[in-house]
Amino acid sequence: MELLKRFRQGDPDAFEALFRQFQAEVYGWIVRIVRDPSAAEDLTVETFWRIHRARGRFDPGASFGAWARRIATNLAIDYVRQTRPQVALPDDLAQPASADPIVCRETRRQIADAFARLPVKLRVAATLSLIEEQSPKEIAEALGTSEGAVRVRVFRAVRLLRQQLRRLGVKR
Amino acid sequence: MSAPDHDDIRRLLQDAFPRADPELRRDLWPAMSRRLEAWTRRFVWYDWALAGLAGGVIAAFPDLILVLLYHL
Repeated sequence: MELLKRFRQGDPDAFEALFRQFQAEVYGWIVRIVRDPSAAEDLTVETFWRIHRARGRFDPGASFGAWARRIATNLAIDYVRQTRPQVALPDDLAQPASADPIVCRETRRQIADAFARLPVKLRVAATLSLIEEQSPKEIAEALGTSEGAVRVRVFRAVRLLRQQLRRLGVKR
Repeated sequence: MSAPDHDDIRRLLQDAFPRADPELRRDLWPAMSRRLEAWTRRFVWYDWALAGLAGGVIAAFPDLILVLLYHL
């Protein structure tokens, strides 16, 4: 609490202490959304830069981690929105973690293609929920919405994905 | 909208997209520190530019000092 008050007052040592305490958590959250370690590092620094500039608006009684995650999420979503969907898959996908022989490389490319075409908000909710298996509560806090809204976004993402995969003849 | 409804899609997605490694491999404080320093330097530059501009205006129009003093 004392540290947060000092941070709010502009104490550089307090900011550094908070940065060191939360950088890994913020990075971990961002990389789950943007799925690019280098971009996630840049966005982590950008997140703390915005935190530094907005410190006057921070309520020392609130959770710094939740505030940071919210800012990080908004930045990560903007990044995903601006980045062209990556349809080409990296080579390491030739050997997926859960080696399912039925899902061949071409099928995975089609899935990635269909997923990249989802609206960003749905894609981010689905990424965090279905791929990264984060809880609806955590996702809702980070997105600044309700758990119900997160479930709806995931549901809509799955529905759209099913439609697209069916069209591509992928749905088994 | 029960969770098991999504299991097939979840499996397809997890096959197509490996889970991200959330571990931070290096300390980002040096990058943050550089960003803060650049910002500070920029403000020092602005301060000097503004001071120079004010000095130039006063040198060109010395009577402005009297106007400023009057309004103070």
